[in-house]
Amino acid sequence: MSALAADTFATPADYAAALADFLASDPRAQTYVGYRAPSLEHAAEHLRGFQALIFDEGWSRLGWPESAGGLGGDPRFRAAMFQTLWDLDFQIPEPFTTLEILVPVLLVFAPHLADELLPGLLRGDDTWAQAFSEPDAGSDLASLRTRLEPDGDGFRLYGQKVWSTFGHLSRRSVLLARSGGPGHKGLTMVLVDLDQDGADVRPIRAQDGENHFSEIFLDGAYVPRERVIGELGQGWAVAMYMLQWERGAWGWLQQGRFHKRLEQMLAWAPTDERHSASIGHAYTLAAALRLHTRDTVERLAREESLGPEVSIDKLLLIDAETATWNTVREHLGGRLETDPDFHWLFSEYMFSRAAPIYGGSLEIQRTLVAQRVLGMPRD
Amino acid sequence: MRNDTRTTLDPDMIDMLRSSLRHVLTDESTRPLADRLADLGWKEVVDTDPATALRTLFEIKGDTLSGADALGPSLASKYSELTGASSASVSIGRPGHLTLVDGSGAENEVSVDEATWAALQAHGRWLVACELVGIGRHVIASAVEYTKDRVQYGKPIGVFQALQHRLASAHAMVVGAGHLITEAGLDGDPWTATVAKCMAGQTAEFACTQAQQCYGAIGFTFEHEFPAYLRRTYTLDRMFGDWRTLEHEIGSRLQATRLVPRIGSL
Amino acid sequence: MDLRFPDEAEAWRAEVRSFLAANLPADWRGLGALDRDEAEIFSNAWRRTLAEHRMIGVTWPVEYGGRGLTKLHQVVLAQEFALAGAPIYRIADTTNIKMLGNTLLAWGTEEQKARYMPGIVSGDATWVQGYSEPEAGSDLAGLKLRAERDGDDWVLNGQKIWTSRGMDGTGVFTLARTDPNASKHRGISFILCELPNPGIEVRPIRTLTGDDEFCEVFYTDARVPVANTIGPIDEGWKVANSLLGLERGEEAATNPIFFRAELDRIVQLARDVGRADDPVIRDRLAWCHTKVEIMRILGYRILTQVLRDGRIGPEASISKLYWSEYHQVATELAIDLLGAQAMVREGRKPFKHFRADEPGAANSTNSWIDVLLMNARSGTVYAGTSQVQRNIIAENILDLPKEPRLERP
Ligand SMILES: Cc1cc2nc3c(=O)[nH]c(=O)nc-3n(C[C@H](O)[C@H](O)[C@H](O)COP(=O)(O)OP(=O)(O)OC[C@H]3O[C@@H](n4cnc5c(N)ncnc54)[C@H](O)[C@@H]3O)c2cc1C
Ligand SMILES: Cc1cc2nc3c(=O)[nH]c(=O)nc-3n(C[C@H](O)[C@H](O)[C@H](O)COP(=O)(O)OP(=O)(O)OC[C@H]3O[C@@H](n4cnc5c(N)ncnc54)[C@H](O)[C@@H]3O)c2cc1C
Repeated sequence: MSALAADTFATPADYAAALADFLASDPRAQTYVGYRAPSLEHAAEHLRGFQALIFDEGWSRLGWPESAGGLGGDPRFRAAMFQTLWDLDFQIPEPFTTLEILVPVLLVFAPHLADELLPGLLRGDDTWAQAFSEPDAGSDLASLRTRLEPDGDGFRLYGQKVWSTFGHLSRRSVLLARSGGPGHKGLTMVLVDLDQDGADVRPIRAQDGENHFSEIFLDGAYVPRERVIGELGQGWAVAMYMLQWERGAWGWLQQGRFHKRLEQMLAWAPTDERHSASIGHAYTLAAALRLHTRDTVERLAREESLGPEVSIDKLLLIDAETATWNTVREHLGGRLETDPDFHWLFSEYMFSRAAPIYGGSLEIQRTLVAQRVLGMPRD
Repeated sequence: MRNDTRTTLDPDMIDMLRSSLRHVLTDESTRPLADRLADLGWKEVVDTDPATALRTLFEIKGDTLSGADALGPSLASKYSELTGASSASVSIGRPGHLTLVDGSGAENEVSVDEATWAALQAHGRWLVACELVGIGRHVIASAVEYTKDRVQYGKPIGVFQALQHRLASAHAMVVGAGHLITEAGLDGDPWTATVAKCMAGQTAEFACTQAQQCYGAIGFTFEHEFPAYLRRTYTLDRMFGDWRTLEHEIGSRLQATRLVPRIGSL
Repeated sequence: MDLRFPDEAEAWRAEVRSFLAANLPADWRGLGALDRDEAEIFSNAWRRTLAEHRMIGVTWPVEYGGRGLTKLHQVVLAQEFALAGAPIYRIADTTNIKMLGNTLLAWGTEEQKARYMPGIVSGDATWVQGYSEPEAGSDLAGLKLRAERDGDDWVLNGQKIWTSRGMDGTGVFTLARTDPNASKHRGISFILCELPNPGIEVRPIRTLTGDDEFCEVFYTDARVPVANTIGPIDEGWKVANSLLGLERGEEAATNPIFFRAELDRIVQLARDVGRADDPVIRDRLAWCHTKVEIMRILGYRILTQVLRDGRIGPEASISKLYWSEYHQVATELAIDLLGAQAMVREGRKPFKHFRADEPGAANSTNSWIDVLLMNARSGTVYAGTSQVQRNIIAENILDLPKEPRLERP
């Protein structure tokens, strides 16, 4: 068990430096450097050990409240951890990406669940998915139809969810369902166990051949009352709160990846002046994303609540993500698509093509920025 | 003003600064800008937080399209800071060469070492980048207002998604460029200044072209304020390297060093 | 699509060539090589020569001054003229010949054709297009210019705007509301107003390049004979639409010729400034080359369609969108090549305000800056904005559902 605490470090930068020392000197950590996942399932299995290691040593507990098993400190510590892991070529265990989106919501709307479940999640003993989208409710999320029906002390779920990232590798899922009438007001957020009879999770193979997401069929899956996140009927507000993490903090995590991949790409291919402009373009956009999302992380650390302007984070993310992977593909020539050693990278590339879709599409973000930030008229 | 969170000036002070600068930059006076700024107590502001002061000055210069000569004197201060030599105005020539202008307007070409020249060029890039960001913000804000008032097909054209999306994309770029100019002012690193200028140039051009499309034919008339912003953008973008050239320069350097600097730390 | 021209077109090509050889000045380098005043003089003289030799409106029937040839012949003519750097007509003829001439032939009565075609062919008349109004741009059918009948006259009241070259017009063809009670697209008539007219005042609007290119036109109790209505009264929307199709369609085949010549100038510019070896510039030039080739093929395709079906489909919107967006990229490249030099204005300003500068134009900053600022940047606005073209492509070619809650013709 570690002796780390938030006040061990004066600044997130000090923390990052200490973490870097640890990762460079700890032989257990060293076995994970430069890991290239042959498949998503392999990564999930393999990186669980790494996740447990940095939890047990305390590193991943900084930036989370002590009440929930963290070691205190604000979210900048988490941001610094991601940065350090990318920079030193550690693959970020996938559960962290879901955690970053889901747990802040629990801290506010269901602290009891955070207290109970965060340690297991952080350590990688437990993994969660997010189940919002449905076959007929994508961008228009508020039209979703999965029903949450009272049953004794708890509830039962009926319906179908889709595109749930890593659903088939997750034990539970945060899920948005309809507990009341139509529209935003009838929605409720819950946490449901997926390893029960009423829940059937089936992986969907994505375009790169990997099982990126799942369908979830719900036929009476049970949800105890204390697994409701927020109040009944408060689901939309909970989902909106989540967006500032899904669109904001996520951008910071991703910019670390983009900078690293650009650096690696330069090492892996010979200089070609014809690519300079597109490399410069991608780098410039990644730098803008980095500075903007740093600002977002700092605002979140100050517990400011972010409004529709988080859509700007997402727009900058889409530009940077698209440009980065365009230039990676160009610079590596055909190797990205054909070299088996690059399968892991190709998989990241393919995932990057979804940037204008996941977490609210490009079109939806632009509309939000136009109407809610710039104040353009609505029809 | 989110970009101003990293400054030692308090928010009220910055608001005041903005409105007085706006005033100074748009008044009809023919007195030199330096004298008009002096009336404001400019020196004190600059001493407190030079990065915010200069950035704000140039942003507002872009926003108001003021023709006041701020660049030459600002480069002169930088030159004096670097070398101790004083002049009223400095302009940057080919590598290694500067033109100094003294109080009487006499010009004198001098050669300087590579480091000094590069530092001045970076400073110039940063200042011009700030002005370009000011332009970008202005043209988007004006176009937004226009699309609220202009009615076609019985509704304000601002309801059309085609126009909303143009201005939203431009706005996101302006926000991104805004962070880069702020950071460049703080870290004083020539690399950041170059990246900021690159982003600012493409952002202002993009913002202008999006705005112009929203205006329709009126955006092509001499009397409308817009075309002057477009022309200024093309001119500024070409100073110290247009954005395409800078993209190339940045990419070329990344390839040469195989290092990818992370601008800004937590 | 067959890219070879039939024999009779090749025979015509030879005829056009010999006409050009016989009539162009020996040292001809293109209109662009002349300054504005010289260009104006040459242009007018050349226009008379063209009319005398029946090189104007060659697709029109012989009795109206044409040669009764096909659109294909028109394209061959345009190709040969472009090769020689010779103007196919005066700038004002875009509206004069392409628009009004063609519309008159399609819709005019015998009296109207007899009265107006000779001036259009000879070039003594210059007709300009007065459609747009301050409140009716993209939504042209929202136009309000009022025409009330008084005996044999229309009495017109209202305002038009953006009338290109209105100051040079000997007449303006306009759209006016003749039945205020009819629905939006009904009750509009297409009316010819000869100028000067005591009730019609034309005032220039300065463009961003400082030229008097377009005008406002004010109608105050302006009297125009009802006999000047082209096509049926109250059916002007239909008449105008048939003409908009021509504006967008026929040039699909001829535009690429001008863009090719312009691209040649840009390549030359790259050489002149010593950047022909720069890989990024070469990439961008290659990109432009590809686009011009695509436009050429697209142009042939549209032309083939016109020859076969006698009309232009919504594909004309693709062509409009394509050239207007291409032209912005190409001219930005030229300005980039000029580099810091682009900040200093020098040389001759372009003679016209649409599309490319004239062949023979020097690679001066004045030429390229004006072409970028005025011609290229406005290309996505005039003759139907890009947004409107995209709507047409989405709805009429891709068969996507109409945009919600928008009334359409
Ligand atoms: C890689 C990936 C991971 C994902 N992970 C999860 C997850 O973990 N959990 C989860 O719940 N969901 C997840 N999703 C689903 C994601 O949230 C949805 O894909 C997204 O909300 C869009 O919905 P849709 O796919 O049904 O597309 P649709 O909503 O059908 O949209 C199709 C197209 O129409 C456009 N469109 C829709 N409405 C408008 C409008 N009003 N104006 C203009 N354009 C419009 C969209 O922009 C898009 O281009 C994931 C998706 C991807 C690609
Ligand atoms: C150089 C030049 C020469 C011209 N010459 C002539 C001439 O000789 N005679 C003449 O009559 N007119 C002329 N015009 C006018 C031209 O036809 C109009 O500019 C054009 O119809 C657009 O109208 P507007 O300028 O009023 O713009 P608006 O219609 O006000 O459009 C403003 C913006 O709103 C967008 N918009 C409008 N409706 C929609 C919609 N439904 N969906 C999405 N976006 C929409 C437009 O695309 C544009 O971006 C000329 C214009 C120019 C620039």
